[in-house]
Amino acid sequence: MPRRLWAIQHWWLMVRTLAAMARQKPWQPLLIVVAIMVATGGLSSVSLINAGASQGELANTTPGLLSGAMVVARSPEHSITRADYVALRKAGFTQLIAISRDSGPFRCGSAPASGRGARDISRAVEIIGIDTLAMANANLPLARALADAANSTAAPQPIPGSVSSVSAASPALVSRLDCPGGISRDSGIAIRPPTPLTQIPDNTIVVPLAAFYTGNYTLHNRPISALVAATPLSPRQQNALTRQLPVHLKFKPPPAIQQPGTLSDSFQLNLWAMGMLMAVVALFIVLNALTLMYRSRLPQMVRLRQLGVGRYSLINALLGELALYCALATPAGVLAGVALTRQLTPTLSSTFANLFNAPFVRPSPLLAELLLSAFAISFAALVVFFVVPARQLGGALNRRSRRTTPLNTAQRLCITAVIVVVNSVAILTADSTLWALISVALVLLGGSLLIILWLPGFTRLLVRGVPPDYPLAGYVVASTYAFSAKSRLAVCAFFIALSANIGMNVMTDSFRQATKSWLTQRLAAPAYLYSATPPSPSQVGSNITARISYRGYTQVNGAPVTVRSVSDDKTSQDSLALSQQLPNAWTLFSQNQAVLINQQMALRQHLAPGAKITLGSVRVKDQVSPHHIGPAERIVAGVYLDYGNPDAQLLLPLSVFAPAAGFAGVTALYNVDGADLSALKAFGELYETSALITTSMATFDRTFVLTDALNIVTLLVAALAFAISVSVLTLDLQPQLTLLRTLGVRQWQIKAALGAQYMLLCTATAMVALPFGIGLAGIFIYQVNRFAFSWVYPLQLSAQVLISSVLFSLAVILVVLLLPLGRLNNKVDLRQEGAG
Amino acid sequence: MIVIKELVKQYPHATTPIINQLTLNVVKGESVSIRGASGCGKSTLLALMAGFEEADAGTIQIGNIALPCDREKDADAFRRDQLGVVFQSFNLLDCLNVWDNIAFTARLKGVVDAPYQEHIMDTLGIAPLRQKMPSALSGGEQQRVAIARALVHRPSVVLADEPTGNLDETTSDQVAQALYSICAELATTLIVVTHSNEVAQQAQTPMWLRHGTLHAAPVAGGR
Amino acid sequence: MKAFLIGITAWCWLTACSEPAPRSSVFSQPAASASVGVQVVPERPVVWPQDHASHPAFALEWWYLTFVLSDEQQRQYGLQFTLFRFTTNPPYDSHWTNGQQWMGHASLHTPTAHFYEERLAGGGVGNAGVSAAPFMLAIDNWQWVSANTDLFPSVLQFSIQNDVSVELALTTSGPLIAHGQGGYSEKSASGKYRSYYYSQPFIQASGQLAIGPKQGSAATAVKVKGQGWFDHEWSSQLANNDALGWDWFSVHLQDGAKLMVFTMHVKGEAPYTTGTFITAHGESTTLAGDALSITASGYEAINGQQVPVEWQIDLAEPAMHLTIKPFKPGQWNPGRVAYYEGRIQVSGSHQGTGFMELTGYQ
Repeated sequence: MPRRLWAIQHWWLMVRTLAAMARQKPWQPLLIVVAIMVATGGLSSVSLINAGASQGELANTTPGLLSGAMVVARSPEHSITRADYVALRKAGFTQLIAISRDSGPFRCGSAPASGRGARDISRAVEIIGIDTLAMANANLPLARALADAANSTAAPQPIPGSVSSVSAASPALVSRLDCPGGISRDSGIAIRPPTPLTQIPDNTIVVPLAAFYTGNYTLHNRPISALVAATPLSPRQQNALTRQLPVHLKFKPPPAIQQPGTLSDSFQLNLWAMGMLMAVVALFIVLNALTLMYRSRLPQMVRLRQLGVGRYSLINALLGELALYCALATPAGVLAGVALTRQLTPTLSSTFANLFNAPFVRPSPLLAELLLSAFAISFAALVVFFVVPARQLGGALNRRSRRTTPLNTAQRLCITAVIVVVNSVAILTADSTLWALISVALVLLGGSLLIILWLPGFTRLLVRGVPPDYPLAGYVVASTYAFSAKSRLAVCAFFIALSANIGMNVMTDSFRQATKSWLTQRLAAPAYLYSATPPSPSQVGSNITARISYRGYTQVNGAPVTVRSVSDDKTSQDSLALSQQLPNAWTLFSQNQAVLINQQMALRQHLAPGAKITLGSVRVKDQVSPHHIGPAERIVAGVYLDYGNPDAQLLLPLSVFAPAAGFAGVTALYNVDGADLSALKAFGELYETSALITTSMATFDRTFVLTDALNIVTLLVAALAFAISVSVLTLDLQPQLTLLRTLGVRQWQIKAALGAQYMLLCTATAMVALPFGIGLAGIFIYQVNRFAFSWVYPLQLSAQVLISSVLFSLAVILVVLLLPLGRLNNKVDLRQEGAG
Repeated sequence: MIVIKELVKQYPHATTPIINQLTLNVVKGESVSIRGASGCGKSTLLALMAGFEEADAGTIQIGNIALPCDREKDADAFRRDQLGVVFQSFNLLDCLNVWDNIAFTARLKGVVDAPYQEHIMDTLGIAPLRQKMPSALSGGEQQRVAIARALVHRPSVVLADEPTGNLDETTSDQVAQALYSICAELATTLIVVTHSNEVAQQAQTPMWLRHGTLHAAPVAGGR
Repeated sequence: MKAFLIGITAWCWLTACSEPAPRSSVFSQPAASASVGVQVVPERPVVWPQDHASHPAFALEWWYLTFVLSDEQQRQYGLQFTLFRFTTNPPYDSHWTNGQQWMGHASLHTPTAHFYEERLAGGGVGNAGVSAAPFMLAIDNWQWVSANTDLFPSVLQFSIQNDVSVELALTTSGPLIAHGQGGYSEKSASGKYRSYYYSQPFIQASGQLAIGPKQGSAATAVKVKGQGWFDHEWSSQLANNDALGWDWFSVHLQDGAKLMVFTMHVKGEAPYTTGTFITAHGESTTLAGDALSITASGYEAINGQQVPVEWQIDLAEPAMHLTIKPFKPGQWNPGRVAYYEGRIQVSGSHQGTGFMELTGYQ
């Protein structure tokens, strides 16, 4: 027979034989297919969620249209007229957009077929009319979106039988309102159910101003509420506008608190990191399923080799089988991931809107790209993981030759030492975000290897520790020992998920504690005033003490640095916590010989107290000439904490740096109890410190909610891997379980015993995961955060956080295990397994 | 046909070699039985002859093949083309029916001959079982299928490791008789490792393995 | 078979490359209404100065200024300032707007840059409109103001995206020109498509352009001067999805004469070409039929479409064979209503400069 033909026939014989094996135990390849589906589905979902969040405005620090600067009436007795609006626009302030507010009453109409009447929603919403044509000039997404909504067939259609207007609202409000019959006011045209759009505050429905002023709603009884600045105004423009305004109007600067803020960078990093974690755990699931299949096929493989099937023929056929499973599972997994993300998009939009006041844009997946990359990644990963078992399978000629000598304690200790050394070197030498993340990966993989090395030994120790009077307990522990060797990969997946969970929880908790403590200390004044210009003494009054701060910019070692001024009195010293300082730091500072720098500057420029720096010219924005601050040579007297600031910053004494044009926009107010604050409230935005701290912490908590959700998903995925292993290995245990039943052990005792052995394994894993999770938290804080954002905070260990993380993870495993345990066969089956 | 010279095999942690300067000469078509005490190295000797394991010293020549082969593909080719192996635990492919199990070696070698296979199956009395799966067969039936598989591709040598070890007495006799007679009919060299005297005595050349070498007669007083 | 398919594919590709893109109506926009409003009739000629003002009963109107300018270093500029008015016919009465919508377009082409801005405003709000006594046209701080009811002399001031500010003093050296029959201008052979249309082609402009930070430095003011062309047109018949667009040219010839020609494309009728030749003394002649031909001779790829930017214009009387080429590529206005508007160079039997407007290629 020609050689090529023979080779083809040979290969085909192998394929048919593998197919016959697959048919005989279909759950084995099905497990692999399902595992690949879960992996590719999970990865597709995470990748699409990342895309949706990125495309959304989470990273957009531009404040929403209605939360920026605006022109308002100076007092309730005055109002903005149409003539005021026209005059300002004709004077060149074309970024000002007229809005008018209506707080009700409003009614929400149900679907006509429902038979329900309209319900009052006045308390839930405010309707704002916006001059959408003027807004179009600013080329804002909101304007385009409203215009598109008016023309789109997907947008809510006109209300039958009545003239109606398009409207828009935040995604959260749209999902809450549910008014298919539209929204009606006492007068004026009806409003169609709103289209979800971003940059709209919650509880607000936006309509075109032309539609707002219909019916009995006139400029006389509902004057223009404000002229909002659609695009930010430079200080020069603000000054020009302030000069242009008639006396009955005033300029209100934008609030300083930006809600999406600088936490968006960390959120993006979180999403990315969780995606990688999902990928690792998913790969473990697939590897687990693959290893289980090959283990059960090993006798057959040995026979094939003994019959003369070549090693590479076998490996080629096995690879072909893997490619087939990938080809079958990948499209199903990707499509399931896409479908799941699409189904979840309304929930995700609502979650993002409610928690972050930010949009989640429905991602449009490039299916071909997703499919190809998912197939390539999953097949490549399978091939990588296939190498080792393939060599073993291909080389096996008899069972005896396959038995590898287990590592002895000395060898295990040696490998452990190598792992510890490699991880330590990686962590200590990490000098960038990338290397820090690689350290994270090495720690997780190192921990997994240690689990593989030591878990069987640990469980064997337990075997010796069980008293002989408890035979069932002894069986549980001994079976755990045997089980641990076969389920190492599933245990590793659980270990990775739990370690990451603990690490993230400890990191988040430390960050939260540090942030709250820092805010409480820094916001030493009972109130703060945000305004475009400093308040005058008459506005402040005689009882209140006002501390104004100033800002500018300079350069140090060629890098831009922002400059702020601070007083050197005791109040300032108490409120500015220095993490490092010279003994006479404040003395040097008050003598204008030294500067205080923030942690970001210290880390980026490798500066410590005592270092000498040379300041560049200190300028105030828009001013040509530098501000004179004294000698350029300075000593770094101390380093202060400045969480969340992306910029390097240094402080100069207030006595030296207080340029009128450099007003920082914020004034700290002391002795405000009982004082008349009305003038200040009319002048700018006044905040009580407690409210500021509450708002900040609420923002903080919202940012990490999605990370927590992804943590739970990863945990569930790991639990799934565990459950799959349990299902498979329980089949192997069937003869033993049957034997136990014949000995009189009751069914519930058997299930409890099985559950106990799995939970024992998980608990042992959890004990190993605890220190690794804490170590991971340390890496996140002192490495990842340090290199990514140039600031760190102290690691705080809370027993409550650690215990709750472990208990929650174990609970998840327990719940997931209920399924395979529940399906255990009740019948006593004394038939022997077939030979081989 | 088979020439073994000064073969040595010692397992790790063993104090003495299990095969110790063993020598064997078998002519083509001869049937040889090897008996010995449990653990004396009978199965090890067969594994060495089949190329499943490598000896520490000595040579094995089977036909024109010298073991161990220099290249793995030569060893695969030897097992595929020249050798038939019957295992104590049958080692059928669970996923294939009887016909496909038997035909497997012929297909592997590329010498499928359905009438010949039918003849072997008739001779062994397993023709009616062709569509059955191994799990549905008795021990004796499985072993006969294994024998048919070992012969269908016309190997020059058949190695049988305890072919009746898992069978009852009556079935043992039937299987042993079938094995010897069909090998004699096909002039196939047969090496049978067994602890059964009845099976061993049916060979043309019964031998004993003792202290790592082969002997023609048992030791005095030995079993 | 395979070769045939390849050939067909190649042929389709090649013909797609050499043929202009199919036209779509420039009025397929939300602001345009169906053909409603008062009709354009030949019995009512344009009357000045009253007709300089707005005609809200008609669906569509524009006041169109184009300038061919040069500075002291002889660098050339193409400047456009246009105010459009649309009747939107909203289904409700609003106390904020009166149903009219105003749209301003400002475009400056330097040899190397393009500045463009589009503005919108509601009618009746007060920040946009045209008044006749005195003449004032404005949208926000874009203003064209005359001291009396005449269009000229007047001052034009506007900015573009805070990068450019323009201030021009405008005077004229010739009369207003009413196209067609006393301003009744037909756009199709059937007469179904028509407008009131007059021009002032004899504008002299002088002033300055300040071009700002996007040029890499603080705003630099350049003194400019040149010629301008003003069109005022209003109609209800053109605000129609079947009006697919036009190729329009205004030419300042070196001898002082002026030429306005266009080809109008409408659905269901053959393209209709007409124009007006104006002597240096202001005598105008309507060009039609065999007396005039406008032929595309070169294309430019813009936004994936092949737009004809090189033309051949032939007149029988006076005899003229003009070759039209854009003074730079990419003279596209990317607004809600997107179209080609750019300065041209005129060569051939006569020399000159001017502007070209191509619509329906979006």
